[in-house]
Amino acid sequence: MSTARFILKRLMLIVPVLFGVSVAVFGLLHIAPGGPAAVLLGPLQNEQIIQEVRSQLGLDKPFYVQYWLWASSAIVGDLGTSWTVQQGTPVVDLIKSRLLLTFELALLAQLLAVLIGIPAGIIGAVRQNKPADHLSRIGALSGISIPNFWLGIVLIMVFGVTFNFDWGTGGWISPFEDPVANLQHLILPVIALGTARAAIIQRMTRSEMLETMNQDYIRTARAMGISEREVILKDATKNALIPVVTVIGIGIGGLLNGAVLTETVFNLPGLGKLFITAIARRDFEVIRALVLFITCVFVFANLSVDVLYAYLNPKIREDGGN
Amino acid sequence: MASNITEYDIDRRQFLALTGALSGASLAGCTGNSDSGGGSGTDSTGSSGGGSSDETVRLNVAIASEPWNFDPALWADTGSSAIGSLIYDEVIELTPDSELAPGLVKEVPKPTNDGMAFDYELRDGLQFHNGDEVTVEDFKYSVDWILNPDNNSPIRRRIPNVEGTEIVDDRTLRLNLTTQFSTLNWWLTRGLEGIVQKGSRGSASEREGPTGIATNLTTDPSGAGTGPFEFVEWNTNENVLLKKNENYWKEGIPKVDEINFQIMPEDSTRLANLRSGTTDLTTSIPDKDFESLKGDPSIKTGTVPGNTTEVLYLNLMEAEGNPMSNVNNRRAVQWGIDAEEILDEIFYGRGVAQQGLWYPDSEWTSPKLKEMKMYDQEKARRELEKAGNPDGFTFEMLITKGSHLKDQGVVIQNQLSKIGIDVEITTLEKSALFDQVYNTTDWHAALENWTNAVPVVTYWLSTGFVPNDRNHNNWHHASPDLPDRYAPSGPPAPEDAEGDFSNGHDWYVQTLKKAQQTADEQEQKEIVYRLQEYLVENAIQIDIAYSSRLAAWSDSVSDYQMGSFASDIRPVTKD
Repeated sequence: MSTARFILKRLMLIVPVLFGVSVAVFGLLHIAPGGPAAVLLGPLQNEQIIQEVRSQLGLDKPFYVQYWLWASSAIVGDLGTSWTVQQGTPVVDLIKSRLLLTFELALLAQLLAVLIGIPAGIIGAVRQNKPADHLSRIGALSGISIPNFWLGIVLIMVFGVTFNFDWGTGGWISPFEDPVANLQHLILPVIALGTARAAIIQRMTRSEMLETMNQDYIRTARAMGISEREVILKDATKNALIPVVTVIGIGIGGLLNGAVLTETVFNLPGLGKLFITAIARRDFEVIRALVLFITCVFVFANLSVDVLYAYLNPKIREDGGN
Repeated sequence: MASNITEYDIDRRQFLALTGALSGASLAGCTGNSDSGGGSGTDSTGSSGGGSSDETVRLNVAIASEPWNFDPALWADTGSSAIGSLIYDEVIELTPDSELAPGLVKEVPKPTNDGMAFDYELRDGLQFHNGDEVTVEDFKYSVDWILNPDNNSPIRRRIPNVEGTEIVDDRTLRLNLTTQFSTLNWWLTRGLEGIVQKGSRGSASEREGPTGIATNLTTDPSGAGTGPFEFVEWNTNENVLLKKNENYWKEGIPKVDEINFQIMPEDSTRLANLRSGTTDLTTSIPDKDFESLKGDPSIKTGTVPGNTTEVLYLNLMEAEGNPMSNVNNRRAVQWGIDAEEILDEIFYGRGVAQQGLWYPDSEWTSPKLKEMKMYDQEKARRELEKAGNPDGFTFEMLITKGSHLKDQGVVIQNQLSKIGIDVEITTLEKSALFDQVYNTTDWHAALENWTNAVPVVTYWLSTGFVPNDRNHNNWHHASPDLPDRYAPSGPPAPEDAEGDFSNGHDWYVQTLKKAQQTADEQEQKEIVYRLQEYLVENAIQIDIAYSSRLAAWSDSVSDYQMGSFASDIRPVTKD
């Protein structure tokens, strides 16, 4: 199967995925108690007004009609206007204004995770069962076990309160205004978000390296007199990292989820904080758009990983991706 | 196989180099596309305290929740009101001492026309932030818009018994009443929180969103207010920035150049910002953290009795398996709850245990209730015997998820277990809880807290009890999905009631109306006492305790005035 056909096939699979997710989200919001009209108008509002507002929001229409109206607009890029987060503001504008921050945070966290995870995994495998390996494994276990919101609070208390760094309590500054301050303010959120990913990458890298280093071609390389450094870095690492690429790729989508808590703790006005506000305020338009957006990121991250994997490993292409 | 690997070796290297380049380019692309939103609130959240290079004094105030609406005819939440009260001026002000004071009017008026009207005369020289003069036409527009039922203003209920307005002269507006209503000025403190320019709300067809929710002022009230600060920007999830109104009518205020409301929902983040100096003042402080703030030498703290009451709603409606439809069961629960212990355990001793609905030290609280022992296990056991449940009974208590209320519910559960009452706790998201309480009979009790904005006992006796449909206790309601509004729910009218009343609620509503109408303070008190006693005697709902208002600010801030119902940030200075 050619790469083009492989990609085409995967692209076609995206359509049912997006349809399924959008129907599921729409359905869940439809049955959730305490709808947006009641939340908007407060607890003592008149029942008649609540019904009027429901009607004006289209919430009194049958489920399939509501879905059709929303989906037909969403397909052409019209995701509606916010009901309760910032009334009347186009949802696309709300998302656009937060993309930069969330992607910057996710990418930097992923970069940190790769920079820590891969070397730590390689060292752990090369020095298996030695102090460096134990240290690396303890670090990984800690990274996975410590919730990122808790780590975030601890970092704020240490750097923001105890050492009183003005960038230590969160907040965000645009890179266009002050690139240095922008990076300073993201140091702690990136650490909070990236450490768990680093731990996952470390564990994956270590296990793949251990498996690869027992392969025949590694023994052959050593027998040929190639230096140990060259064997590890050139022959073993390159092949061991192929599955790690999958973890890294999929991790981009996972980081968007992790950003929800990190942005809340560090008071970063990104997509995660918007999501939390939209859920609390039952802003169905914003919730649907964000779920759709995050689904797209996941799906395309997966697709990219599949394509990359197929490119790196011809066996995948040869058997049609099965 | 090995040759294959070698064959792809070079390609992968090229690929990685390409990937690196593309990643950099895509990051640059992302940054380039988001110019409009990203930078907008930067200097506010990024600012670390007071003065910037041009000596602008900025007060950073951390708030826990996003505002909803900047139209004073539409906001019904305290968050919007706290910010909005700086953009607009109240017609009648409520001071931190809970007194009335003239706001945009020259004086607080007395009723005229045999008590059937109030005349409000505007101050001279008032200006909107856009420089236009405030006229009586603007005043009339602002009131009429709220009164117009087509606009679905959620605060319409805060201007009761007003049937319309008329212009008396070029500075005076008359509010005509349907009935005598001596406490109207108190209600207006939260019913008329701003005068806006005629036509500024736009027509219904121009508006974004449904009526009752949005107008042209909802997200951008630029130029619309008359208050001490002008609206600059609102960045959702980030901040609301206000700047000083240089032409404010009140001498000597405001004293800071800007107020930046930082939106920080996370408690620990808010407090860390206060401790580090990034935040100057916050009023959103969890009780558990207050003591530690008091120990910080760089932070000042304040506490006053609050206007939020912890309350147990009871479902009076007769429904299958609902033990709360039995008045003796309700009373047993009432006498079985120890409010003092709740204050100690949940609020660290800060707050006031209630003796009925109103503040126990107020002259407006029934003397009989002041003397009453509210926590009395023997009395509770006797009520259980009368109910035919000497060994107790079981009921379900709904509680809002993820709040102090759950801890409070556990304390109540423990207290009631001592008299044999078994409490099953169910936690729900807040709006789901109210959905169940208002729209079904399928519940027994719900633990919630409730804030009332107006310091008048008749206001509190009305809210949650009188309205026909959004009633806390299923005392009565008009929902078509539920039984008849006067189905046998709740107790009958008192035996000594004068008149023909179909139900205790009917008597309650008519009697409260008399209290609101009379201008005779003693007569009003006697009626109010009787109503408070009726609520306790029949355990319509169980009012547990008022929690305290808490605030903390950095030592560079001074002149913040805290009040039980209204705090004043306008005179605040910052070194």
